[in-house]
Amino acid sequence: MSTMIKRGNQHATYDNPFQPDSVYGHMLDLLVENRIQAATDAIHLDLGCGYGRVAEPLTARLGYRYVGVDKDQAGLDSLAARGFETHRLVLGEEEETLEALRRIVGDRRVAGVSFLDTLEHLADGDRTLRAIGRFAAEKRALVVISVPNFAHADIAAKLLLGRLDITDVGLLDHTHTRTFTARGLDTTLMTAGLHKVAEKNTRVRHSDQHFPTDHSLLAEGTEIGGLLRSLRAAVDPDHADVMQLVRLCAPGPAAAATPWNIAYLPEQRPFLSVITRTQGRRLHTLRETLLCLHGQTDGDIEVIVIGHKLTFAQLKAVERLIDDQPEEMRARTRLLRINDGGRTRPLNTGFAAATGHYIAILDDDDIPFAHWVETFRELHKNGPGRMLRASCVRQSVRNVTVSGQKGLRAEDTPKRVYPARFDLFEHLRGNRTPPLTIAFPRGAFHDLGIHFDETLTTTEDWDYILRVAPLVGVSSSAAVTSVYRWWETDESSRTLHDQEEWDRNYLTTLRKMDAAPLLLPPASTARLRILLDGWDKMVAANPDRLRDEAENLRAELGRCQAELENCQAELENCQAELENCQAELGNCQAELENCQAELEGCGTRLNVLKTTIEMHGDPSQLRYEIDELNRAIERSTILRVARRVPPPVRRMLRGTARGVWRVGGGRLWLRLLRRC
Amino acid sequence: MSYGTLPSFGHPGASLQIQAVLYNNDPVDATRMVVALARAVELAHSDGDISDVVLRLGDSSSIPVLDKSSFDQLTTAARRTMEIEYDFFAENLGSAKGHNRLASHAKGETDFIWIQNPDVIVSPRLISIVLAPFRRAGVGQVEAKQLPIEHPKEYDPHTGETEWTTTACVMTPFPIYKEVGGFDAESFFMYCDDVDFALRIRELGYRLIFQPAAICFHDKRLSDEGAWLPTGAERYYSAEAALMMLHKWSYPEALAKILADFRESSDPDLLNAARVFLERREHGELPSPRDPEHRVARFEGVQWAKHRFPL
Repeated sequence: MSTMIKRGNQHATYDNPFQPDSVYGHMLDLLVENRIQAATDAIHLDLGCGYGRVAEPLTARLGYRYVGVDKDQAGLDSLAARGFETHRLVLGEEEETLEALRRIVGDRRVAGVSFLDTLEHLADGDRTLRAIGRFAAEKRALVVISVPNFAHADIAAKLLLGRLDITDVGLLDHTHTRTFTARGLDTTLMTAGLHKVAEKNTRVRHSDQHFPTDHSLLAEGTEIGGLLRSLRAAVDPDHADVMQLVRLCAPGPAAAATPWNIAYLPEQRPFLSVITRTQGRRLHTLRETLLCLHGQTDGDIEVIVIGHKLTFAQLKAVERLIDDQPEEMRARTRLLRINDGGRTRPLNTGFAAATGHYIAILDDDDIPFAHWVETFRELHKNGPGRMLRASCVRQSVRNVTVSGQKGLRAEDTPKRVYPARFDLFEHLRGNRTPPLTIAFPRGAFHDLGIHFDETLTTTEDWDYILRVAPLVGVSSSAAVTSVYRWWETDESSRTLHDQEEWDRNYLTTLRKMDAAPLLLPPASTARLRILLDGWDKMVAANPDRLRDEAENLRAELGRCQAELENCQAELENCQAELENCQAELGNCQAELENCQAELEGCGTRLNVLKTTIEMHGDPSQLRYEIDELNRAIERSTILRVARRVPPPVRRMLRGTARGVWRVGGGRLWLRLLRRC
Repeated sequence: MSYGTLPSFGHPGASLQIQAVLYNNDPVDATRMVVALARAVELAHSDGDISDVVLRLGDSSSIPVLDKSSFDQLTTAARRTMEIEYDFFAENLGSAKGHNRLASHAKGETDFIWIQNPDVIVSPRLISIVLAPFRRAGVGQVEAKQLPIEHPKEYDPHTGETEWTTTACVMTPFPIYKEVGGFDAESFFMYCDDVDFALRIRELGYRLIFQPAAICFHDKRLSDEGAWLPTGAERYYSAEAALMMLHKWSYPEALAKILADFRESSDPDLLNAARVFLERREHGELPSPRDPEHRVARFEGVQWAKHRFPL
């Protein structure tokens, strides 16, 4: 930790220089970026100022009068010697502190107050903070506050293994009386009537707590360290490397103090949140899904219907459908609307809004049996917090219309197509689990920060399973608890996305899996041994065939690579030619504009000529003027410009009419070029 | 065929009797059934499709399913959308006789009876949807689709016309019920009584409609392998009813073959069904065969209608 370190510490001095990337620098940036109009005689009050090395740059950049306040005389003496106003004050009780601040400032205007790396040293910082909040409100001043970040990844990693290194100075200065995380600081500030306006934290990847450097969770090269860092990055990407949390606050009403026991009080949550995506295009199936949810033997659920890109009419229809439900279902159901994003966006929105202990995806054509929730509950009892996975049958369906009413018709026997139980190894090769058979623990999304990958247009469920299942484990049951509808003829995700797109998404997920370490469930080593032993036996039994296959694969790979290189080279050539054409085209357009201007001049001359004829009627003069005009037109026509278009551009423009439009010439260009 | 005997359908709405026969059900199931019915009645009433509604619950259990407290819960769940009558039979009447008993209490002005299983949950708009086809002449019954397992019997995907209906969830004009004479409780105890009932309606020239847009939830489950899971009672009574149906609807060759199969079977349910049938035949308790030319009843394979898929 580069700065601060406060009173009572016999092991360090606190004369920290000003650095642009230090707390001082960030404080100054926040004040400059959020500067409000203040009187030129306004002061900046620096509480717990230490040696106040920010005084000079602050005065220079903001023009305020700097006033330093601290209880340590050494720092105050330094400031005084540099010509700044100082006051000695022991921060503490609310009323006393407030009165002292009033006395120091008097009638003067206060533009800003800073309270840097001091709060964590005070025995009862909340009272001091309330005094600062009230003082800032009286003076309508902005307040900058900073504290060390206890949640820095270096501290967290070591603490996970039971190690907490208190040091002379730094993040874990032995004189600290209190620790803060970002969330904790913001809550504390709000209860003091200080509301965050902006933040600019100081960051460092390796903090003063990054020791010993060969600690397995700290060392950059370890798999487990990488895994933890990637987890942290997913959950809390903004604070893992934060040294000091630096906030700019505006004074306002104080929030009610949060009871300390709120963190562990039991939360009132439904057992299961059901996320149902709908585009409002198959209300007859959504009606079936909601009915089956009403039929659950375990009704401890909430239903979140995500209306994705609904038109107004579709929205009203979905609202009416929900309103039709019996009161007990209606009370458990809410509709959220999303107007952007792909098919994965509604899942992230729904999961974020879910309050249940578990979260399930039940699309608007899925059918749960009566014991769908009940089975999840049983699985939960056997393995709380794990991913829960039951079994399903698949059945083909199609739309029919009977007596003017649209309905769904089952077309074949419900079949158990997917494996009865979850097998992570099988899932590494492809999805074997329709999403409606799964309940994800809420912690996967809300604690581990594992969200759906919105770059995927298909297979987003498989991708999510592969990221959640290894970390939380899976409890599975062979019980058939749902019907997965299979659309043979009507619209579905299989018909909306072509095979190339499916393949692309599939490979994306495989690449992600290959790029990260993988936790395997118990008994996996035995499975791997068996697989490897089996492979060895197969190789031993068929060495020639396998060698041939390997050579064929290598040859195929070589061909593919060569083809890829050719394609890349061709692409580069095309790009270069395109750039040339675009440049040439730009020149032509400029010339065309000149010609058009010239043509307009001719038009003007023609009008003059007409007037002349009407006035004088001289035929020889008329012939001369007409010849001149024709020559001018010949020089100026668009046709002449078009003829000058170089051959590559002509080829490109002739290629497609769309291309012609894009380059700006319009259909006129096309017509002219055809005449060239 | 016109509905000369039916009251004009529409505003101010038809009079409806809903009936279900309980048998050792959990009162919670009954409450859930009523919650769903209440909402469906409320919506159909607000649409002007129905007027007054009575829910009649029969109970074939040995001990009443509903006590005062659970009946009060039902009344609360109904939210004054319908009158509820509870009839503890004090004997197991089966479904055929039970429904006949409940229908016998219907008010004279009743236009339709909705028959359902007590573990069926109707969808909110069900009543209006199943009533709609009756606006056309010649419709004798409209059956709703069951979920999560849809019945596989064939129906016309445009008209909805089908060979027979199931009383798990079906609407019948009360005059037609009376015209047919209700269920044949002498021949059938609790299976195929609905098939027989539906065929006799068709025998009178009415059409039966399966409406896939009208949906109700019927708690049926599959084995871990995805196969149908019939209960012991289902196996026995459906075997007994199958023999009776073949006899009554004039399929003597098929009856003889299946009867022989049953008698050679090691399945005690099938053996017992064959024994009971033969005893009734010996005592002259079988009904007279009908429809000898098979104009109405078509026995295909092992079913009374072509199925879209095996289940």
